[in-house]
Amino acid sequence: MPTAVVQPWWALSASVCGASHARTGLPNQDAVKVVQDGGGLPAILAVSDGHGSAKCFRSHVGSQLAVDAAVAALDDFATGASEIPPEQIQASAALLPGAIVRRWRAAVAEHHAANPIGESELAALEPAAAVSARQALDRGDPFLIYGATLVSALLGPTWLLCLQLGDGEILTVSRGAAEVMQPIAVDESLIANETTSLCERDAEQNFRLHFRMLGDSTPALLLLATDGYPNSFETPAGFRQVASDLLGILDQDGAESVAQALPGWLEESSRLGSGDDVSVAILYLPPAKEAP
Amino acid sequence: MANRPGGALATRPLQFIWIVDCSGSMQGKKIEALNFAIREAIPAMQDVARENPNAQVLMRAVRFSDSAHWHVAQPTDVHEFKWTDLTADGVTDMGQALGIVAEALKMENMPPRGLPPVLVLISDGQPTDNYTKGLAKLIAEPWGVKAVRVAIAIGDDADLNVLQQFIGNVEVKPLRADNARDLAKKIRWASTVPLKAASNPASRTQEQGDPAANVTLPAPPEPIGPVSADEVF
Repeated sequence: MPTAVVQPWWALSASVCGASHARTGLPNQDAVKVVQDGGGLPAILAVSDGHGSAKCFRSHVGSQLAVDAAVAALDDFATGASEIPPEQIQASAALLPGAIVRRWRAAVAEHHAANPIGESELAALEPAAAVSARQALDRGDPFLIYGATLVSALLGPTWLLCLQLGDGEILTVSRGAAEVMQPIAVDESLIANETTSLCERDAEQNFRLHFRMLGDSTPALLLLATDGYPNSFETPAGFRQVASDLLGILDQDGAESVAQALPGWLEESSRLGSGDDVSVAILYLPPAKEAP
Repeated sequence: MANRPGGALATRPLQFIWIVDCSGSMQGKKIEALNFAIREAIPAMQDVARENPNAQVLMRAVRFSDSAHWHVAQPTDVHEFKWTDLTADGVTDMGQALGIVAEALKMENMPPRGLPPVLVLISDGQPTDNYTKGLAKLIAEPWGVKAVRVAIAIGDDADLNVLQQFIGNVEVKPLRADNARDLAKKIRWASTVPLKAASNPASRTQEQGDPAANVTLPAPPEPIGPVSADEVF
Protein backbone atom coordinates (compact mmCIF):
# COMPACT_ATOMS: atom_id res chain seq x y z
CA MET A 1 0.00 0.00 0.00
CA PRO A 2 1.51 3.39 -0.98
CA THR A 3 2.48 5.80 1.78
CA ALA A 4 1.45 9.48 1.64
CA VAL A 5 4.37 11.83 2.17
CA VAL A 6 3.47 15.21 3.69
CA GLN A 7 4.90 18.07 1.68
CA PRO A 8 6.57 21.16 3.15
CA TRP A 9 4.56 24.32 3.78
CA TRP A 10 5.13 27.32 1.52
CA ALA A 11 4.89 30.92 2.63
CA LEU A 12 4.23 33.60 0.00
CA SER A 13 3.68 37.31 0.28
CA ALA A 14 3.32 40.41 -1.84
CA SER A 15 2.54 44.07 -1.29
CA VAL A 16 1.75 46.53 -4.07
CA CYS A 17 1.28 50.28 -4.12
CA GLY A 18 -2.36 51.19 -4.73
CA ALA A 19 -3.44 52.65 -8.04
CA SER A 20 -4.71 55.73 -6.22
CA HIS A 21 -1.40 56.19 -4.41
CA ALA A 22 0.50 55.77 -7.67
CA ARG A 23 -1.59 58.57 -9.22
CA THR A 24 -0.91 60.94 -6.31
CA GLY A 25 2.73 60.03 -5.73
CA LEU A 26 2.17 58.48 -2.29
CA PRO A 27 4.24 55.48 -1.23
CA ASN A 28 2.88 52.04 -0.45
CA GLN A 29 1.77 52.36 3.19
CA ASP A 30 1.17 48.63 3.74
CA ALA A 31 3.69 46.16 5.12
CA VAL A 32 3.85 42.37 5.11
CA LYS A 33 6.07 39.84 6.88
CA VAL A 34 6.14 36.05 6.97
CA VAL A 35 8.37 33.76 9.00
CA GLN A 36 8.46 30.08 8.17
CA ASP A 37 11.57 27.97 8.30
CA GLY A 38 12.31 24.81 6.44
CA GLY A 39 8.78 24.09 5.33
CA GLY A 40 7.58 23.23 8.83
CA LEU A 41 5.45 24.77 11.52
CA PRO A 42 5.06 27.05 13.37
CA ALA A 43 4.63 29.72 10.73
CA ILE A 44 3.86 33.37 11.36
CA LEU A 45 2.18 35.81 8.97
CA ALA A 46 1.38 39.51 9.40
CA VAL A 47 0.06 42.32 7.21
CA SER A 48 -0.49 45.92 8.22
CA ASP A 49 -2.16 48.91 6.57
CA GLY A 50 -0.74 52.32 7.41
CA HIS A 51 -3.69 54.71 7.53
CA GLY A 52 -2.33 57.05 4.90
CA SER A 53 -4.39 60.05 5.97
CA ALA A 54 -2.60 63.38 6.14
CA LYS A 55 -2.30 63.35 9.94
CA CYS A 56 -0.76 59.83 9.85
CA PHE A 57 2.08 60.92 7.61
CA ARG A 58 4.50 58.28 8.91
CA SER A 59 2.05 55.40 8.70
CA HIS A 60 4.23 53.63 6.11
CA VAL A 61 6.81 53.34 8.91
CA GLY A 62 4.11 52.45 11.44
CA SER A 63 2.90 49.52 9.34
CA GLN A 64 6.42 48.09 9.03
CA LEU A 65 6.90 48.44 12.79
CA ALA A 66 3.51 46.73 13.27
CA VAL A 67 4.41 43.58 11.33
CA ASP A 68 7.81 43.50 13.03
CA ALA A 69 6.17 43.77 16.47
CA ALA A 70 3.58 41.12 15.69
CA VAL A 71 6.08 38.63 14.28
CA ALA A 72 8.42 39.11 17.24
CA ALA A 73 5.64 38.69 19.79
CA LEU A 74 4.18 35.66 18.01
CA ASP A 75 7.62 34.11 17.63
CA ASP A 76 8.18 34.43 21.39
CA PHE A 77 4.73 32.99 21.97
CA ALA A 78 5.36 30.03 19.65
CA THR A 79 8.60 29.26 21.48
CA GLY A 80 6.87 29.33 24.85
CA ALA A 81 3.77 27.50 23.62
CA SER A 82 5.71 24.26 23.17
CA GLU A 83 5.90 24.06 26.96
CA ILE A 84 2.24 24.92 27.62
CA PRO A 85 -0.51 22.28 27.69
CA PRO A 86 -2.74 22.79 24.62
CA GLU A 87 -5.76 23.62 26.76
CA GLN A 88 -3.89 26.57 28.28
CA ILE A 89 -2.64 28.07 25.03
CA GLN A 90 -5.78 30.09 24.38
CA ALA A 91 -5.65 31.72 27.79
CA SER A 92 -1.99 32.59 27.27
CA ALA A 93 -2.78 34.03 23.84
CA ALA A 94 -5.08 36.59 25.46
CA LEU A 95 -1.94 38.37 26.64
CA LEU A 96 -0.63 38.83 23.09
CA PRO A 97 -2.51 42.05 22.16
CA GLY A 98 -0.88 43.83 25.09
CA ALA A 99 2.51 42.45 24.16
CA ILE A 100 2.16 43.52 20.53
CA VAL A 101 0.92 47.00 21.40
CA ARG A 102 3.79 47.52 23.86
CA ARG A 103 6.35 46.40 21.28
CA TRP A 104 4.85 48.64 18.60
CA ARG A 105 4.71 51.69 20.85
CA ALA A 106 8.31 51.15 21.96
CA ALA A 107 9.41 50.83 18.34
CA VAL A 108 7.49 53.98 17.35
CA ALA A 109 8.95 55.92 20.29
CA GLU A 110 12.42 54.80 19.27
CA HIS A 111 11.89 55.74 15.63
CA HIS A 112 10.45 59.11 16.62
CA ALA A 113 13.35 59.82 18.98
CA ALA A 114 15.84 59.00 16.23
CA ASN A 115 13.87 60.92 13.59
CA PRO A 116 12.17 63.92 15.27
CA ILE A 117 9.33 65.46 13.32
CA GLY A 118 10.50 68.71 11.81
CA GLU A 119 8.52 71.90 11.39
CA SER A 120 8.74 71.50 7.63
CA GLU A 121 6.94 68.13 7.85
CA LEU A 122 4.08 69.71 9.80
CA ALA A 123 3.94 72.79 7.58
CA ALA A 124 3.38 70.59 4.54
CA LEU A 125 0.18 69.11 6.00
CA GLU A 126 -3.42 70.19 5.50
CA PRO A 127 -4.30 72.66 8.30
CA ALA A 128 -6.62 70.29 10.21
CA ALA A 129 -4.13 67.44 9.95
CA ALA A 130 -1.34 69.70 11.18
CA VAL A 131 -3.48 70.68 14.19
CA SER A 132 -4.08 66.99 15.00
CA ALA A 133 -0.40 66.15 14.67
CA ARG A 134 0.71 69.12 16.78
CA GLN A 135 -1.81 68.30 19.49
CA ALA A 136 -0.62 64.69 19.56
CA LEU A 137 3.02 65.71 19.80
CA ASP A 138 2.26 68.31 22.50
CA ARG A 139 0.79 65.60 24.70
CA GLY A 140 3.83 63.39 24.10
CA ASP A 141 1.92 61.03 21.81
CA PRO A 142 3.65 60.47 18.46
CA PHE A 143 1.65 57.29 17.83
CA LEU A 144 -1.16 58.90 15.82
CA ILE A 145 1.37 59.92 13.17
CA TYR A 146 2.41 56.27 12.70
CA GLY A 147 -1.15 54.82 12.83
CA ALA A 148 -1.63 51.37 11.33
CA THR A 149 -3.82 48.26 11.51
CA LEU A 150 -2.63 44.70 12.09
CA VAL A 151 -3.75 41.30 10.83
CA SER A 152 -1.62 38.39 12.03
CA ALA A 153 -1.69 34.62 12.40
CA LEU A 154 0.37 31.89 13.96
CA LEU A 155 -0.15 28.36 12.70
CA GLY A 156 1.22 25.82 15.14
CA PRO A 157 1.43 22.05 14.59
CA THR A 158 -1.96 21.47 16.22
CA TRP A 159 -3.63 24.89 16.51
CA LEU A 160 -4.34 28.15 14.73
CA LEU A 161 -4.18 31.56 16.37
CA CYS A 162 -5.33 34.74 14.60
CA LEU A 163 -5.12 38.30 15.93
CA GLN A 164 -6.59 41.35 14.25
CA LEU A 165 -6.86 45.04 15.00
CA GLY A 166 -8.77 47.16 12.50
CA ASP A 167 -9.78 46.34 8.96
CA GLY A 168 -8.39 43.59 6.74
CA GLU A 169 -9.43 39.96 6.42
CA ILE A 170 -8.26 36.40 7.08
CA LEU A 171 -9.41 33.43 4.99
CA THR A 172 -8.75 29.73 5.36
CA VAL A 173 -9.68 26.82 3.14
CA SER A 174 -9.20 23.13 3.77
CA ARG A 175 -8.50 20.65 1.03
CA GLY A 176 -11.71 19.01 -0.10
CA ALA A 177 -13.90 21.51 1.76
CA ALA A 178 -16.19 23.61 -0.39
CA GLU A 179 -16.44 26.46 2.07
CA VAL A 180 -13.91 29.20 2.64
CA MET A 181 -13.77 30.13 6.34
CA GLN A 182 -13.23 33.52 7.96
CA PRO A 183 -11.77 32.86 11.42
CA ILE A 184 -12.42 36.48 12.44
CA ALA A 185 -15.71 37.90 11.21
CA VAL A 186 -15.74 41.24 9.42
CA ASP A 187 -16.37 44.04 11.92
CA GLU A 188 -19.45 45.73 10.46
CA SER A 189 -18.84 48.89 12.47
CA LEU A 190 -15.74 49.59 10.39
CA ILE A 191 -17.33 51.40 7.45
CA ALA A 192 -16.52 54.46 5.36
CA ASN A 193 -12.76 53.96 5.73
CA GLU A 194 -12.85 54.16 9.52
CA THR A 195 -10.79 51.65 11.44
CA THR A 196 -9.48 50.83 14.87
CA SER A 197 -5.75 51.23 15.12
CA LEU A 198 -2.55 50.54 17.00
CA CYS A 199 -2.27 54.30 17.58
CA GLU A 200 -5.41 54.50 19.70
CA ARG A 201 -5.41 54.50 23.48
CA ASP A 202 -7.68 51.46 23.61
CA ALA A 203 -5.79 49.49 20.96
CA GLU A 204 -5.25 46.47 23.20
CA GLN A 205 -8.97 46.19 23.97
CA ASN A 206 -9.92 46.46 20.29
CA PHE A 207 -7.96 43.39 19.18
CA ARG A 208 -10.06 40.46 18.02
CA LEU A 209 -8.68 36.98 18.60
CA HIS A 210 -9.43 33.54 17.19
CA PHE A 211 -7.95 30.33 18.53
CA ARG A 212 -8.83 26.81 17.58
CA MET A 213 -7.38 23.33 17.87
CA LEU A 214 -7.09 21.96 14.35
CA GLY A 215 -7.91 18.28 14.73
CA ASP A 216 -8.64 17.06 11.20
CA SER A 217 -9.32 20.55 9.87
CA THR A 218 -5.80 21.81 9.18
CA PRO A 219 -6.19 24.44 6.46
CA ALA A 220 -4.37 23.85 3.22
CA LEU A 221 -4.33 27.60 2.66
CA LEU A 222 -4.29 30.54 5.05
CA LEU A 223 -4.52 34.03 3.57
CA LEU A 224 -4.20 37.40 5.30
CA ALA A 225 -5.02 40.61 3.43
CA THR A 226 -5.15 44.34 4.03
CA ASP A 227 -8.53 45.91 3.29
CA GLY A 228 -7.48 47.17 -0.13
CA TYR A 229 -7.89 43.60 -1.37
CA PRO A 230 -11.45 42.73 -0.20
CA ASN A 231 -12.56 46.28 -1.03
CA SER A 232 -11.59 45.61 -4.65
CA PHE A 233 -14.24 42.94 -5.16
CA GLU A 234 -17.84 43.57 -6.13
CA THR A 235 -19.10 41.23 -3.40
CA PRO A 236 -17.72 39.61 -0.22
CA ALA A 237 -18.23 36.23 -1.90
CA GLY A 238 -16.03 37.38 -4.77
CA PHE A 239 -13.23 38.04 -2.31
CA ARG A 240 -13.68 34.74 -0.47
CA GLN A 241 -13.40 33.04 -3.84
CA VAL A 242 -9.77 34.21 -3.90
CA ALA A 243 -8.87 31.56 -1.32
CA SER A 244 -10.47 28.62 -3.09
CA ASP A 245 -9.19 29.78 -6.49
CA LEU A 246 -5.68 30.24 -5.12
CA LEU A 247 -5.63 26.77 -3.63
CA GLY A 248 -6.56 25.30 -7.00
CA ILE A 249 -3.96 27.39 -8.84
CA LEU A 250 -1.26 26.53 -6.29
CA ASP A 251 -2.04 22.82 -6.58
CA GLN A 252 -1.91 23.02 -10.37
CA ASP A 253 0.93 25.46 -11.05
CA GLY A 254 2.98 25.34 -7.88
CA ALA A 255 3.98 27.96 -5.32
CA GLU A 256 6.92 29.39 -7.25
CA SER A 257 4.73 30.16 -10.24
CA VAL A 258 2.08 31.80 -8.05
CA ALA A 259 4.72 33.84 -6.21
CA GLN A 260 5.72 35.31 -9.56
CA ALA A 261 2.17 36.08 -10.63
CA LEU A 262 0.94 37.41 -7.28
CA PRO A 263 2.11 41.07 -7.53
CA GLY A 264 0.47 41.40 -10.95
CA TRP A 265 -2.82 40.01 -9.66
CA LEU A 266 -2.77 42.43 -6.74
CA GLU A 267 -1.95 45.39 -8.99
CA GLU A 268 -4.84 44.49 -11.29
CA SER A 269 -7.17 44.20 -8.30
CA SER A 270 -6.20 47.63 -7.01
CA ARG A 271 -6.38 49.24 -10.46
CA LEU A 272 -9.83 47.90 -11.29
CA GLY A 273 -11.05 47.90 -7.69
CA SER A 274 -10.38 49.93 -4.58
CA GLY A 275 -7.29 51.84 -5.74
CA ASP A 276 -5.83 51.19 -2.29
CA ASP A 277 -2.55 49.49 -1.40
CA VAL A 278 -2.96 45.71 -1.39
CA SER A 279 -0.92 43.23 0.65
CA VAL A 280 -1.29 39.52 1.24
CA ALA A 281 0.51 36.85 3.22
CA ILE A 282 -0.24 33.25 2.28
CA LEU A 283 0.62 29.92 3.85
CA TYR A 284 0.08 26.89 1.63
CA LEU A 285 0.36 23.15 2.18
CA PRO A 286 0.67 21.18 -1.09
CA PRO A 287 -1.21 17.90 -1.32
CA ALA A 288 0.57 14.88 0.09
CA LYS A 289 2.40 12.78 -2.48
CA GLU A 290 2.59 9.04 -2.67
CA ALA A 291 5.97 7.66 -1.77
CA PRO A 292 7.69 5.93 -4.68
CA MET B 1 -0.31 31.26 -15.96
CA ALA B 2 -3.78 30.97 -14.50
CA ASN B 3 -6.28 33.78 -14.42
CA ARG B 4 -6.44 36.17 -11.47
CA PRO B 5 -8.08 34.47 -8.45
CA GLY B 6 -11.38 35.73 -7.05
CA GLY B 7 -14.67 37.10 -8.37
CA ALA B 8 -15.51 40.25 -10.28
CA LEU B 9 -13.66 43.43 -9.39
CA ALA B 10 -15.44 46.74 -8.88
CA THR B 11 -14.62 50.27 -7.89
CA ARG B 12 -16.00 51.56 -4.58
CA PRO B 13 -19.37 53.33 -4.60
CA LEU B 14 -19.64 56.87 -3.25
CA GLN B 15 -23.14 58.22 -2.63
CA PHE B 16 -23.59 61.95 -3.27
CA ILE B 17 -26.96 63.44 -2.27
CA TRP B 18 -28.22 66.97 -2.91
CA ILE B 19 -30.80 68.10 -0.31
CA VAL B 20 -32.48 71.18 -1.75
CA ASP B 21 -34.87 73.74 -0.24
CA CYS B 22 -37.71 74.38 -2.71
CA SER B 23 -39.90 76.48 -0.42
CA GLY B 24 -41.80 79.53 -1.67
CA SER B 25 -39.03 81.91 -0.59
CA MET B 26 -36.74 80.24 -3.15
CA GLN B 27 -39.03 81.34 -6.02
CA GLY B 28 -37.59 83.52 -8.77
CA LYS B 29 -33.91 84.36 -8.88
CA LYS B 30 -32.83 81.91 -6.18
CA ILE B 31 -34.23 78.72 -7.67
CA GLU B 32 -33.17 79.80 -11.17
CA ALA B 33 -29.64 80.42 -9.94
CA LEU B 34 -29.60 77.11 -8.05
CA ASN B 35 -30.74 75.11 -11.08
CA PHE B 36 -28.14 76.83 -13.24
CA ALA B 37 -25.37 76.33 -10.66
CA ILE B 38 -25.99 72.62 -10.13
CA ARG B 39 -26.18 72.00 -13.87
CA GLU B 40 -22.92 73.88 -14.33
CA ALA B 41 -21.27 71.95 -11.49
CA ILE B 42 -21.92 68.52 -12.99
CA PRO B 43 -19.07 68.60 -15.57
CA ALA B 44 -16.68 69.60 -12.78
CA MET B 45 -17.92 66.67 -10.69
CA GLN B 46 -17.37 64.39 -13.67
CA ASP B 47 -13.80 65.70 -13.91
CA VAL B 48 -13.21 64.87 -10.23
CA ALA B 49 -14.64 61.41 -10.76
CA ARG B 50 -12.34 60.86 -13.75
CA GLU B 51 -9.35 61.85 -11.59
CA ASN B 52 -10.16 59.01 -9.21
CA PRO B 53 -11.46 56.13 -11.32
CA ASN B 54 -11.47 53.85 -8.25
CA ALA B 55 -14.56 55.62 -6.88
CA GLN B 56 -17.95 55.27 -8.56
CA VAL B 57 -19.87 58.46 -7.81
CA LEU B 58 -23.61 57.84 -7.55
CA MET B 59 -25.84 60.91 -7.34
CA ARG B 60 -29.32 61.51 -6.00
CA ALA B 61 -31.34 64.55 -4.99
CA VAL B 62 -34.05 65.27 -2.43
CA ARG B 63 -36.32 68.34 -2.59
CA PHE B 64 -38.23 69.76 0.34
CA SER B 65 -41.04 72.30 0.62
CA ASP B 66 -44.53 71.04 1.66
CA SER B 67 -43.14 67.65 2.75
CA ALA B 68 -40.09 66.14 1.02
CA HIS B 69 -39.58 63.86 -1.98
CA TRP B 70 -36.81 62.33 -4.03
CA HIS B 71 -36.11 64.57 -7.01
CA VAL B 72 -33.71 61.94 -8.34
CA ALA B 73 -34.48 58.70 -6.52
CA GLN B 74 -32.21 56.29 -8.39
CA PRO B 75 -28.50 56.48 -7.53
CA THR B 76 -27.14 57.61 -10.88
CA ASP B 77 -23.56 57.47 -12.09
CA VAL B 78 -22.22 61.03 -12.21
CA HIS B 79 -21.27 60.58 -15.86
CA GLU B 80 -24.92 59.90 -16.72
CA PHE B 81 -26.50 62.36 -14.31
CA LYS B 82 -28.84 64.99 -15.79
CA TRP B 83 -30.25 67.81 -13.70
CA THR B 84 -33.97 68.49 -14.10
CA ASP B 85 -34.94 71.99 -12.98
CA LEU B 86 -36.63 72.33 -9.61
CA THR B 87 -39.50 74.72 -8.93
CA ALA B 88 -40.24 76.43 -5.64
CA ASP B 89 -43.45 76.68 -3.65
CA GLY B 90 -44.66 75.96 -0.13
CA VAL B 91 -43.02 75.71 3.30
CA THR B 92 -39.66 74.34 4.49
CA ASP B 93 -40.03 70.75 5.67
CA MET B 94 -36.31 70.14 6.06
CA GLY B 95 -36.76 67.54 8.78
CA GLN B 96 -38.68 65.29 6.41
CA ALA B 97 -35.90 65.59 3.84
CA LEU B 98 -33.30 64.57 6.42
CA GLY B 99 -35.51 61.62 7.35
CA ILE B 100 -35.62 60.48 3.72
CA VAL B 101 -31.83 60.68 3.50
CA ALA B 102 -31.52 58.77 6.79
CA GLU B 103 -33.64 55.98 5.34
CA ALA B 104 -31.42 55.82 2.25
CA LEU B 105 -28.31 55.55 4.43
CA LYS B 106 -29.54 52.68 6.59
CA MET B 107 -26.99 49.87 6.84
CA GLU B 108 -29.14 47.49 4.81
CA ASN B 109 -29.44 50.05 1.99
CA MET B 110 -25.73 50.84 1.75
CA PRO B 111 -22.90 48.83 0.19
CA PRO B 112 -20.55 47.80 3.03
CA ARG B 113 -17.47 48.67 0.98
CA GLY B 114 -18.72 52.16 0.14
CA LEU B 115 -16.72 55.34 0.55
CA PRO B 116 -18.03 58.02 2.93
CA PRO B 117 -21.22 59.57 1.48
CA VAL B 118 -21.34 63.28 0.70
CA LEU B 119 -24.48 65.23 1.66
CA VAL B 120 -24.97 68.82 0.49
CA LEU B 121 -27.85 70.74 2.10
CA ILE B 122 -28.94 74.02 0.47
CA SER B 123 -31.50 76.28 2.16
CA ASP B 124 -32.61 79.90 2.35
CA GLY B 125 -34.81 79.81 5.42
CA GLN B 126 -36.06 78.40 8.69
CA PRO B 127 -37.33 74.83 8.87
CA THR B 128 -41.09 74.71 9.36
CA ASP B 129 -41.23 71.13 10.57
CA ASN B 130 -39.44 69.26 13.35
CA TYR B 131 -36.00 69.32 11.77
CA THR B 132 -34.34 68.03 14.94
CA LYS B 133 -36.25 64.76 14.58
CA GLY B 134 -35.03 64.32 10.99
CA LEU B 135 -31.48 65.26 11.95
CA ALA B 136 -31.55 62.80 14.86
CA LYS B 137 -32.61 60.04 12.45
CA LEU B 138 -29.75 60.92 10.13
CA ILE B 139 -27.14 61.01 12.89
CA ALA B 140 -28.43 57.74 14.31
CA GLU B 141 -27.38 55.97 11.13
CA PRO B 142 -23.70 54.91 11.05
CA TRP B 143 -23.42 56.01 7.43
CA GLY B 144 -25.14 59.30 8.30
CA VAL B 145 -22.74 60.18 11.07
CA LYS B 146 -19.75 59.21 8.89
CA ALA B 147 -21.00 61.20 5.89
CA VAL B 148 -19.23 64.36 4.79
CA ARG B 149 -21.92 66.97 5.42
CA VAL B 150 -21.74 70.40 3.80
CA ALA B 151 -24.38 73.19 3.83
CA ILE B 152 -24.99 76.30 1.76
CA ALA B 153 -27.03 79.22 3.14
CA ILE B 154 -28.74 81.31 0.48
CA GLY B 155 -29.42 84.93 1.42
CA ASP B 156 -29.68 86.50 4.88
CA ASP B 157 -32.69 84.60 6.14
CA ALA B 158 -31.15 81.13 6.16
CA ASP B 159 -30.88 79.62 9.63
CA LEU B 160 -27.13 79.24 10.08
CA ASN B 161 -27.57 77.53 13.43
CA VAL B 162 -29.65 74.76 11.84
CA LEU B 163 -27.17 74.34 8.99
CA GLN B 164 -24.29 74.17 11.48
CA GLN B 165 -26.11 71.42 13.37
CA PHE B 166 -26.50 69.53 10.12
CA ILE B 167 -22.76 69.80 9.40
CA GLY B 168 -21.99 68.52 12.89
CA ASN B 169 -18.41 69.78 12.91
CA VAL B 170 -17.54 73.18 14.37
CA GLU B 171 -14.47 73.36 12.14
CA VAL B 172 -16.67 73.43 9.01
CA LYS B 173 -19.00 76.42 8.68
CA PRO B 174 -21.99 76.79 6.35
CA LEU B 175 -21.07 78.38 3.05
CA ARG B 176 -22.96 81.62 2.39
CA ALA B 177 -24.19 82.94 -0.93
CA ASP B 178 -26.23 86.10 -1.47
CA ASN B 179 -26.09 86.37 -5.24
CA ALA B 180 -26.19 84.08 -8.26
CA ARG B 181 -22.48 84.16 -9.03
CA ASP B 182 -21.57 83.45 -5.43
CA LEU B 183 -24.08 80.59 -5.31
CA ALA B 184 -22.54 79.06 -8.43
CA LYS B 185 -19.08 79.32 -6.86
CA LYS B 186 -20.20 77.73 -3.58
CA ILE B 187 -22.15 74.95 -5.26
CA ARG B 188 -19.17 74.15 -7.44
CA TRP B 189 -16.94 73.95 -4.34
CA ALA B 190 -19.46 71.90 -2.34
CA SER B 191 -19.94 69.47 -5.19
CA THR B 192 -16.29 68.87 -6.03
CA VAL B 193 -14.00 69.44 -3.03
CA PRO B 194 -15.82 67.14 -0.54
CA LEU B 195 -16.23 64.61 -3.36
CA LYS B 196 -12.50 64.55 -3.97
CA ALA B 197 -11.75 64.26 -0.24
CA ALA B 198 -14.27 61.46 0.33
CA SER B 199 -13.06 59.41 -2.63
CA ASN B 200 -9.56 59.05 -1.13
CA PRO B 201 -9.06 55.51 0.19
CA ALA B 202 -7.01 56.62 3.25
CA SER B 203 -8.18 55.05 6.51
CA ARG B 204 -9.14 57.15 9.51
CA THR B 205 -9.29 56.59 13.22
CA GLN B 206 -12.09 58.17 15.19
CA GLU B 207 -10.37 59.69 18.22
CA GLN B 208 -12.78 61.86 20.15
CA GLY B 209 -12.26 65.58 19.78
CA ASP B 210 -9.88 65.19 16.87
CA PRO B 211 -10.51 68.04 14.38
CA ALA B 212 -9.23 65.86 11.54
CA ALA B 213 -11.12 62.75 12.55
CA ASN B 214 -13.65 63.11 9.76
CA VAL B 215 -12.74 63.63 6.12
CA THR B 216 -10.73 66.84 6.11
CA LEU B 217 -11.78 69.66 3.82
CA PRO B 218 -9.63 72.54 2.68
CA ALA B 219 -10.71 76.13 3.33
CA PRO B 220 -13.88 77.15 1.45
CA PRO B 221 -13.74 79.72 -1.35
CA GLU B 222 -13.84 83.44 -0.64
CA PRO B 223 -17.07 85.29 -1.52
CA ILE B 224 -17.38 86.97 -4.90
CA GLY B 225 -16.31 90.60 -4.76
CA PRO B 226 -18.77 93.52 -4.62
CA VAL B 227 -21.97 92.99 -6.61
CA SER B 228 -24.66 95.41 -7.64
CA ALA B 229 -27.78 95.71 -5.50
CA ASP B 230 -30.00 94.10 -8.10
CA GLU B 231 -27.81 90.99 -8.12
CA VAL B 232 -28.37 90.35 -4.40
CA PHE B 233 -31.08 87.78 -3.58
